[in-house]
Amino acid sequence: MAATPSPAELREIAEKQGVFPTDEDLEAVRAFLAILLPAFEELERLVPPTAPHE
Amino acid sequence: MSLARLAGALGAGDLSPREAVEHYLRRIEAIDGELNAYITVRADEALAEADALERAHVRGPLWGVPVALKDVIDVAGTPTTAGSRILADYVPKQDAHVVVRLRQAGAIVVGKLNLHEFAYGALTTSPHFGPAHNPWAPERICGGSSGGNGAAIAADLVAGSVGTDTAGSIRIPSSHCGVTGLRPSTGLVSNRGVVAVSPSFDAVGPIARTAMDCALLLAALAGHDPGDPTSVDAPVLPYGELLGEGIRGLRVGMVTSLVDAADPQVAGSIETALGELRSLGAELVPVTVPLLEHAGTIQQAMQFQEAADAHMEWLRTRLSDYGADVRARLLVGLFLPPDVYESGRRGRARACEELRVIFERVDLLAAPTMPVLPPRIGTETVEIGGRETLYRLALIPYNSPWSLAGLPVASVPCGFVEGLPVGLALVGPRLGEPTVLRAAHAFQQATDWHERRPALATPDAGRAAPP
Repeated sequence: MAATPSPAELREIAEKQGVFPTDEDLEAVRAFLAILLPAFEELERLVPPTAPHE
Repeated sequence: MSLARLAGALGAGDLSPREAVEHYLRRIEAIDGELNAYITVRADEALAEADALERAHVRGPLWGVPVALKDVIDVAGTPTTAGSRILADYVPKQDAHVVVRLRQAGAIVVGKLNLHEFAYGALTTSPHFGPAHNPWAPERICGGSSGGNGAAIAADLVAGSVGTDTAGSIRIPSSHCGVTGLRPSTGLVSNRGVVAVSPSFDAVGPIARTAMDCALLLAALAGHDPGDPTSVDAPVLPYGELLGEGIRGLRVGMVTSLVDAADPQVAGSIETALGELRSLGAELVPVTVPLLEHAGTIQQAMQFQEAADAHMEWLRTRLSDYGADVRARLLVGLFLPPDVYESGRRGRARACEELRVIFERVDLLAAPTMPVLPPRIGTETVEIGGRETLYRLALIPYNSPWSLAGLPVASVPCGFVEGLPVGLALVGPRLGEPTVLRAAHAFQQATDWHERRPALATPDAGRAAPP
């Protein structure tokens, strides 16, 4: 299962897109990602790219 | 007075558009200080428009009817704040497509309504404009994001209203405020001139007292708009004329997993309401929706990135001007792996297909609109069956499945628990608005939950006589 990116990793991704969040912003984002990323991984397994429904 | 009755009284000449507008302006002046439902009141403009209507030769079906709009819908010359600091000074030059259509029908826009910032949340507790208070219990939220709509209709501060719904934003405040709302099929009503959240799921629709009111508003709002890429070229139906056939023989699928997972008292109201549908002649059958538990994840896989895309320029230049919760939610979209969006698209395709198959067996689905009662302002958690959970997570399985598939959903008042309203969701197949509204209307013909009003909405509240 993918680990939630660190604040430093998130900051690097944001700054590459021209966005400059605060430390508090990044902690709030990490709380979302901690729930979302495992759910998205499960979704990927549920509907893989070659799913016959597509 | 319902919008339908008011429209009838106006048409019969029992009162004038100016008198109707003045009535609601008096109530807003007297009561809205307690509720904060409105961000902008167009008093002078609405009165001038009322006078102009009286001189007009053509009278549309909503001639002289005062309406209010969630403050993401553009009215030329009136601020569209989206409940935000970022758009606080934005004054559009053109009406949204739905405003053009409302004006053609003869409606008068009396004001713009409070909402969750940028329609991206379910609380309507804006850090910029203050919270909207629930008329049934002012210390509690209205729900959202169209929370001002719910409060204004419940407190009789306007005859009808228009909101938006991406993941429940019409249905949630309708449930929490004891009013009737309809999220139409995605694309049936134009989104042009409306601040976007997530274009794959955004839908504009009515919030009013009754299903008939919603039908009359929808007939004015719906229609193909070539200027909106999400608009569908579907026939515009006289929805208000299609409500009278009753629901005998209608097959209603009960989404039992959603009933079972709701607060037991809420579930009790829903079960009573389902019994009422059965007594009206509907055939109730239990239904399992296979992807239900994943629907929220599927919608979020697309929605987070679409919302971030829509806000990208402000994320770069105005980041600190967002409220903390909306800022975090928007930022999330920057950090999702690129294949997440495609997973969401595949998941949505499968969910749509599974629901299409279900609607070969049933005409409607029924479920709680919300699993819980409206929480107190400032509370982030709710308790369901003794277990504490985040409010924003609890609502997702009840709203996302239908948004995901672009289905029409009505929320109708169906009971009270501890003095707070409970809503029943009636879900139809795509473009199945006539069936949804017909069932909602039949339910309201047999019950009086939609007629109950909070104490501050009594006719003499605010010392204003009813029109």
